[in-house]
Amino acid sequence: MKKKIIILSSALLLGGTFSCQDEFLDVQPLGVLSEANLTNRIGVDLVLTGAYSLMDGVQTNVGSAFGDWQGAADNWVYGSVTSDDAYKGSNAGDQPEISVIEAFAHTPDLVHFRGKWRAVYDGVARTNDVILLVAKAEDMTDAQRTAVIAQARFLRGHYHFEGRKVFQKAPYIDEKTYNPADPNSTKVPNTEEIWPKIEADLDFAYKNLPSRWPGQPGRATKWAAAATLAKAMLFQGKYSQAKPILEDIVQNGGYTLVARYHDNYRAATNNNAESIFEVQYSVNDGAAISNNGNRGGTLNYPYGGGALTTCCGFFQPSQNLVNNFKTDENGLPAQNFNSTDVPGDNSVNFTGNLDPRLDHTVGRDGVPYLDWGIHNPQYIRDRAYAGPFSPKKGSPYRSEAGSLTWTNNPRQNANNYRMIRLAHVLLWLAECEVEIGDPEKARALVNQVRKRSANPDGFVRLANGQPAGKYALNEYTSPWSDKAIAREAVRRETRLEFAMEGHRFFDLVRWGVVDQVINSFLEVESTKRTYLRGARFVKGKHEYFPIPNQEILNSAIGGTPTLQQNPGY
Amino acid sequence: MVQKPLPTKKTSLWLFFGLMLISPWVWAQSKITGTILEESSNTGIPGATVQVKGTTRGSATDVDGKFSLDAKPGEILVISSIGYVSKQLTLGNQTNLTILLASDAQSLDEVVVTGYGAQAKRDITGAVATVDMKKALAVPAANLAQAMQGRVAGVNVSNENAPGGGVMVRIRGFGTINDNSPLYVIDGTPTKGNLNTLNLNDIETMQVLKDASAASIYGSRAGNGVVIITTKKGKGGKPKLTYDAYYGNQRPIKFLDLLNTQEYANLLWESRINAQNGNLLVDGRISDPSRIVYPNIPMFGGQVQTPIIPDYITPVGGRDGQVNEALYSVTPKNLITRANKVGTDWFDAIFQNAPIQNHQIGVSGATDVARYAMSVNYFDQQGIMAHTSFKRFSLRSNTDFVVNKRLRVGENFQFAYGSQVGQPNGNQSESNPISFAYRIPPITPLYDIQGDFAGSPTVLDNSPNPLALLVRNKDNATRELRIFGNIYAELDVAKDLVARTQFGIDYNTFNLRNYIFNNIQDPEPRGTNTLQQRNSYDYAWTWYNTLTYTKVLADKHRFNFIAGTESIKSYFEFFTAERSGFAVDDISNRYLSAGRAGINNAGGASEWRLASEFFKVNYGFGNKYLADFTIRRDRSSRFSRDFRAAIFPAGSVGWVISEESFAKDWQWLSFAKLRIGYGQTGNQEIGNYNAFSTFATSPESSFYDLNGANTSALPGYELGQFGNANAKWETTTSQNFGLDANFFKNKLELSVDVFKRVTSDMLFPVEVQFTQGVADNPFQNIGEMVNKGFEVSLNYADKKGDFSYSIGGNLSTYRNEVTRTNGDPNTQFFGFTTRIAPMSVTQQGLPLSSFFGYQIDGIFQTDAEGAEHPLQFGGGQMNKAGSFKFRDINNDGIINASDRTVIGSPHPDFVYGINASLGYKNFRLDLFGQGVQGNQLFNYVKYWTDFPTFGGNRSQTMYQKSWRPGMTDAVLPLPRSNDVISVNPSSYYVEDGSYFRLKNVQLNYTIPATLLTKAGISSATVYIQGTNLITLTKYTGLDPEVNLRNFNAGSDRQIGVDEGAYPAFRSYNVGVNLSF
Repeated sequence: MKKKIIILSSALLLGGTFSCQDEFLDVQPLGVLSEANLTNRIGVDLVLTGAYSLMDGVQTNVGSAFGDWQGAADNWVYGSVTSDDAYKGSNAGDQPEISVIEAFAHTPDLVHFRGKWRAVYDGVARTNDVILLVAKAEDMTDAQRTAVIAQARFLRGHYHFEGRKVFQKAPYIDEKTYNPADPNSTKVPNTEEIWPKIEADLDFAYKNLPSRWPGQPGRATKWAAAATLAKAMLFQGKYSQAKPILEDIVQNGGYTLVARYHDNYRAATNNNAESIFEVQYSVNDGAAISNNGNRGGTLNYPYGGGALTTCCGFFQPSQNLVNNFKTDENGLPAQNFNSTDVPGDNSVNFTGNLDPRLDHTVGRDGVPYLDWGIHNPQYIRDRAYAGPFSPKKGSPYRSEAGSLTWTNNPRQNANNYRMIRLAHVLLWLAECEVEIGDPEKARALVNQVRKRSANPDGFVRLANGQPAGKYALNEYTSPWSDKAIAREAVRRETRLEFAMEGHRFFDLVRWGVVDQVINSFLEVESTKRTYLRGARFVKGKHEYFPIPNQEILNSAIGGTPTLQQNPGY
Repeated sequence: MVQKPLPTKKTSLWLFFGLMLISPWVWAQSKITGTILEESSNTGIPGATVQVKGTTRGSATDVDGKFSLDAKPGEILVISSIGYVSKQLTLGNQTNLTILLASDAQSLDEVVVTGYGAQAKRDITGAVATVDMKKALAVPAANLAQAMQGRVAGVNVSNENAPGGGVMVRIRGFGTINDNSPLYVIDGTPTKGNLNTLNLNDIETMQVLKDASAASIYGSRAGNGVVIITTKKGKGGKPKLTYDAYYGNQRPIKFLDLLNTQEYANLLWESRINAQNGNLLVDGRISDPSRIVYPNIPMFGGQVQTPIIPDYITPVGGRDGQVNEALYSVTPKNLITRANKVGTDWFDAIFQNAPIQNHQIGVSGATDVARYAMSVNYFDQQGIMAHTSFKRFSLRSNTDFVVNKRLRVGENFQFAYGSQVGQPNGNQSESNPISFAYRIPPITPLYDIQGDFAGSPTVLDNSPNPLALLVRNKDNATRELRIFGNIYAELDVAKDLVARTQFGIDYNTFNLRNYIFNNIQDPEPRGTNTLQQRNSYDYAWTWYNTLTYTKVLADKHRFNFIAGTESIKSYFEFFTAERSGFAVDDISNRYLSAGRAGINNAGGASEWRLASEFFKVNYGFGNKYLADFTIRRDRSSRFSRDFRAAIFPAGSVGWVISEESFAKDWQWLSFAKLRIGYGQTGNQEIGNYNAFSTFATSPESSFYDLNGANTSALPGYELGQFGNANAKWETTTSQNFGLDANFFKNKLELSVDVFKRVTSDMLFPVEVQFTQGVADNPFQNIGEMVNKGFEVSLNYADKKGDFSYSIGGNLSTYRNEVTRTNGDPNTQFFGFTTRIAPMSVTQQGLPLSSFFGYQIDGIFQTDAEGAEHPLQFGGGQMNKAGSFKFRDINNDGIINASDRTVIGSPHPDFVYGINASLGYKNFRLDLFGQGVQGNQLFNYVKYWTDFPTFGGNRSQTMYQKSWRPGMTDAVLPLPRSNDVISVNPSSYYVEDGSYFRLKNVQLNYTIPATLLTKAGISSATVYIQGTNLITLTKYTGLDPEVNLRNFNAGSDRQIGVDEGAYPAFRSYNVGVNLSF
């Protein structure tokens, strides 16, 4: 009897959880999707949008060790602060690691580089996810597949391009290498030159993308691919190959220069007739902290003082850059421009000739800062540290606050970054003409760009209606018989047109003049900005930034890293 | 015997709602009665238990010490009461007994609850520590883990100190690289949840299962030790009403020593002059004063030789007579704020004296068929930081019913409401009021000329007004409701065989409406007000079933078998939403629908489950040889099918030396037991879905505005998590060797343990290289960690006439070493990094979370000395007089990031607690102190206060002890505002974190019963108390008790970093304990 009871009660007792078969323990993740959910036309499109979303270089860095600005699409640190265009700005204590990069004292463990590396390769991985999903999707037509793959390959080419120009030894990860199920799959060497693969992706996009996406200006087009491909060729000095592509864009792309230069720098005129490819920013779209607004530039506004609540006073234009906008009596870029300074104090009273693009590029005292009011010393966080000038191109309008800026903070705004616009193509073509074609054609192209900015309709004006500076901008009238003069003029024009847009340092590198330009800049500038004292660009090393040390460590298989460091680091 | 059908599922259901009691049901016995008296006073002892040994029959004494019970001659009665030496006596033919008990806290027969059962302390062979709850509850505390601090050898406890804040409990070191907090099992129901919403005053006993031989019955969640808690049950006799209360005043202990306005300006000037005239510096001195370029700072008079303190900060640098105060206006913004020319003491402004109070009313009692204990608690602690607070209301009901001779059912439930107003932006953050109190310059006053909160103009940099932050945050309370408890049924299936089923639940809801004001006066105003709402709920149910079989064979072989099964399901769901643009800030308007802009929301859920079977046997050969074996199999949903199951075995043996015949003559030895234990436990803290690769969507990281709409974005998806289907259990194997010995008639009690814990297949979210993309890193089995250590506790108690005393202490130590990371000895897992490089590293061969940075070897006294040293970070000023001398760790002749090394350890040499008690007649004085010795802290606050970083206030150390020519005892470099190098993590930040704290001094007076009876009071004690009256430490920060940075998994890799942690307070309290 007793035995029976024991057996019975044991059965009761243990039955409870032995009935807990494995089904009880098969718990599925909630609110997320598996790969199988996405292997269809709609799923592919969703993942493709995810791949686009890293165009801004910002994933979601809140709570991580990475600042949003480290991967910023406009490369303001890598392309501008490192160049003669800009300082880190703000004060000495805020984000000092950017000062370290600015002074070329950086080492491979500086966290900033990992932020960029992370943005680049997260973008790459997302494009590969798209390509892998397309292969498994069964409800897509060939045309649909091609349209998706061409976009994904454009993005993949673009992201690798970023990696190549910043880090040089950036490995190429395609869908044959990448296996999301195997974390070791992308531990591949970085010894191979990746330009051919970048070109192959961009060329596929050039040949397969439509010339426009009606209603969807954010998508990559044939012309965006063409321009990026030509740019990649210019980075390799392949002028003869780039030239016909650039000509194709000019002749067949259907782009025109907008009448006012400034329309390239305001949210209200996003995706205009000049734009070939823009990084789309959106605000009040449901993203926390308006993460799709220009987060990469979130530090780069005047520090208070204006009518808009902004911060943090970073990315201040250099004295050299401001001086560079001086023009001579003919309205052409002034020679020996840096021998005297355009003053920062009461800058509006400067009586010399100026290129009107200065006041679209730089905030200076006495000159209206967009519609915020008159720029004054209160706009600057620490004038003694990083000078009297403010950045301007990425700023929102006060009148657009809340509509084209995040309602909680105008630092996140919808002023798109014009990654490639027609003026780029014209000046790149001018470069080609200088190097392998006709300098006179180059002159015509440069003049086309200058003519637009000479339009008085686009001038910054004071309250009394008068121009804010003594603007004098003219076209080059004398023939460019000399190749060196022509080259110098094109390069100067490129700097003036695209100042503070993150291109300058990379241009100097590809032109092969970076060490002379930067070191002579530092020599003068360190007398004005004491923290730059002792800074020096080392040729053969500083043209590229170091592969993040931790990424080299993380690339190890069996204790041996697969990634190599760049020379000099 | 009577046969009854077993309860069906249906009938057992109603039993759960019934009530019942463990009480006599016997085969052949008679009623006996008795009185239990205190030996010295001959007064009755209420609440003492009388148990028939080897049976479940028992009773408790009433208010007069009387009891009645069924028993038969020859049976052994065990009489015990907390605070008295237990007694055993063999029943003769008497039916009315008078039993005297001697008072003593140290009782070997005390029954302690271990896993799924109970054992006499005498028989325990694992490493189990019992917390003396009477003493532990003497010090005011909000949660039960706080009460353990310093009380138990081998348990390190560190408080967050903020009211309702977290607490770090680490048992025997740090056993894993992830979450090291122990499992709490309360009345059989496990939880890892918020300890603040459990009323500690309801606790009757608390045991800490320290080693695997004791804890492995909890298998996969026991890797970090287990704390077993039982709450108060009713005791025999008439209903007893008790009231316990204290009220106290808490005061801040210490503030940072910062600069006044003049000193602040002087230092600013000095460091600007040194920066702007670096080319003139020769041996740290300006070589040609005529060429000095003076700083040009409009706030302090423009370009002047010495700073001029202005009368106004807004307008910047305003002077009396120049400012028209009538123009003050909020919209358009034209705020006017006078300068605080002396200097605002911001710490004094945000800290205050604050009250703390606790009230507990309890009713308990028992009859033959039921016992019950109910309580109501109200706890209210206002923080020493203004407008921080924690309040708790709780209700408890514990009842047990005897349904019939064989069936008992009961329940233990607590219902609690907790409300906390924390520090805005949380503890240990650069954006909380403590940090702002040193980050705001002293020249900024509290209020502007209109009496509104003042703010710094932008030229004074970005710290907002911390007092404004606190005042505006005062209504942002997190509100939690918690139901925690269980229902059970226990059936005597046969003689010696008991079946038990218990269903426990832990249900929580959480609500926060966090309203953030627009701070127009601050340098970086938000631009709008915002309301963030967060609601969540979670539950976990635990259902376990056990069969317990107890048998004594041949009067010698004592067996106790437990077999059981357990299943757990846990579910969590949250919803958050946000809006901004509220028309007015009134409390009545702080609801989402009243906001007009910035609409945003999110929600999600997660779940995990566990299914287990376990078996345990205790064996005793007489009282001499003891053995204990357990085995548990766990299957967890957190692992993929193939790796889901794991088996955790353990065993321990004990030898009671004092029972040996050769020891019988040793009068000095009352008791001695040697214990050896071995076992395995596990860890499953790897998140819920580690095995899955998943795609996720979020507006932040996967949406993109392909339409160029500017104000909307198209949804996208991205790979959100890399899955690792191959992860398996992390295992901790522990060995324990212990000795328990009592001497001199149990007056002296000693317990020593030596242990070793090896954690293998350690689960770590290995960082995946970014070329693979970015997604949550999967936990992988890598790494191994070892903790070795020992623990000693010693107590001595004696009594001479009216005078009684006791003194005791405990000391414990552990040595932690990560013996393997991923196989590569150079792999470094860094802790968090903020504005400087990571300051903690976890690496093979080092203790977990060692401090990391540069070694500073002093300061260059001359330029020549600097020039001889390896080039520091490119040279220049860094190789001149007044700069830190960085050590060339790798001897490559150049100082750069490769010269960082381990510069300290947050792990203490040992921790200890000391307590003493002196009693004379009705007075008793209790003293308790606790300390940590030999650890180091990384004082990150110095980043802000000791270096030229942001524009906030600075320390007196920087003002006085920065290098100037000739100053050989300087600790900081020459102040130079463009020095961005010296601030890097270095040995300068690392300080000795040792401290000793006199936690409690308490004088109790027991009011003589003769005075009380008329008032209907049966006993009354009143006391006065001072807590934290003395803190001995060399640490220069606010408080040496630095906790985890936060309480998320992974924060153990950044222990001991002080960002200005909420400091401990001193309090003066009065209290009363009454029973009616």
